[in-house]
Amino acid sequence: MRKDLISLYELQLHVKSGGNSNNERVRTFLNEVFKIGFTNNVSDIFPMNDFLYGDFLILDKEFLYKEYLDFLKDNEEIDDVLYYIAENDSERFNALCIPSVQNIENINQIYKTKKETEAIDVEENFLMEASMSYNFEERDDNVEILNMSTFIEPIDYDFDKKKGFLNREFIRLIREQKGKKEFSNEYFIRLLREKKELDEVNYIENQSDDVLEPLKIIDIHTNILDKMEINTNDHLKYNVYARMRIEDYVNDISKLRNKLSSVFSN
Amino acid sequence: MCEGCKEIIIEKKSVIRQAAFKNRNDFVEVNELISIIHYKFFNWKSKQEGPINVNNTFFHRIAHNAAIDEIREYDVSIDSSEHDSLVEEIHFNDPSTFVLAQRIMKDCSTEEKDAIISIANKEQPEEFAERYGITYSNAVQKRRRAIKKVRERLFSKNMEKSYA
Repeated sequence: MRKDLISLYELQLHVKSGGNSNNERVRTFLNEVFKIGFTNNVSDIFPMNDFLYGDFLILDKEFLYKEYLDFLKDNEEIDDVLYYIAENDSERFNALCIPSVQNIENINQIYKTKKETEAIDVEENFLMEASMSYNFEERDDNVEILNMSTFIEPIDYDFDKKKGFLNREFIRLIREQKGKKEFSNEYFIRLLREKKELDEVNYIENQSDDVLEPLKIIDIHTNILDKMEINTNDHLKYNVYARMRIEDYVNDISKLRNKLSSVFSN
Repeated sequence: MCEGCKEIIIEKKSVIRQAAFKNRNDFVEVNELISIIHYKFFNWKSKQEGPINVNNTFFHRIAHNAAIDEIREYDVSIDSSEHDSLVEEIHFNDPSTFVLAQRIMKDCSTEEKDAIISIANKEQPEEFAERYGITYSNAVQKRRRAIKKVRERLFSKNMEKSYA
């Protein structure tokens, strides 16, 4: 999906106007978001040019849930899957959500808004630069020894701190030094790559101490495909509205059983 | 009582009630239908040799046939007082809960009633699908639509106040 399809302002306007903004692009966008966990992953849609999934999640949930119910009227096969999970697989689905998003509210804590992300970036950049200058001071003492032992041409260590640590010279330096065991700065490169290039959700999962059981994930999605003939993916747990719908169905079924099961069993 | 009857009837209690509830009509009352199901089951069982295995569809079919095909007086006397007391145990005995169930499913078709009671009784969608000769996903869809139809009545407090 195009990253410039809509702006956050257009989305907010749509929500505040109760869906009366008549903006077809917003509807297209919402339809794609509602398909997270089915044909889409979070990272297929977000980040958009000027907002993230976190920004979407803080919008009026009650209104968007109504929009979601309308969406389900046109996509009954998705609604069927959500009902299937509620009736037959809710425990296993909950178990999948437990490591990072046990409650629906936890999703908001994981997916930050653009503002929050920028604040974190500033803080991390500061920490990285501080750490870099510390490492350089330490390593400078050993440069002579390293060069002697590996017979590599002496490297110009003229690092200009004002240019920041990702300037061209420094990247070249990292490449040249990669094979050396003590080059701990690689950690920071990896961190940066994860944050900027990898899927946002993978990043989040990497932060979690709990490890998901891959078999469990495969099991539930394979079951759904086998029985309901629809593909789902692990990002279903990040789809707030799908989870609200599942919870609604769980409540309905539980209410039904409370009222009727005794009539037929006792 | 003949061997195995009690175990089978007790195990299938909710299924027998479900089958009778959904198939009852203006001519056959629910408890009468329950008696007919038992009568036919005991008759059938007495002719079997060796161990028997009955699934839910078996009882649903008996109830269906009894309700639509044979509008006549049944002699449901069963040659055993134990059988009689077993049948009595399966009859609906609490009018208030029965009326509540009726009220919740008041405008539902036979299939919708079946779906709702099937969910309430925790019957697997596979069995429901088998009964109607439909796919698993179709069965799930029918169950979802049925529960959606009665949802508001489930959460209505007036329903219980008025009828329970």
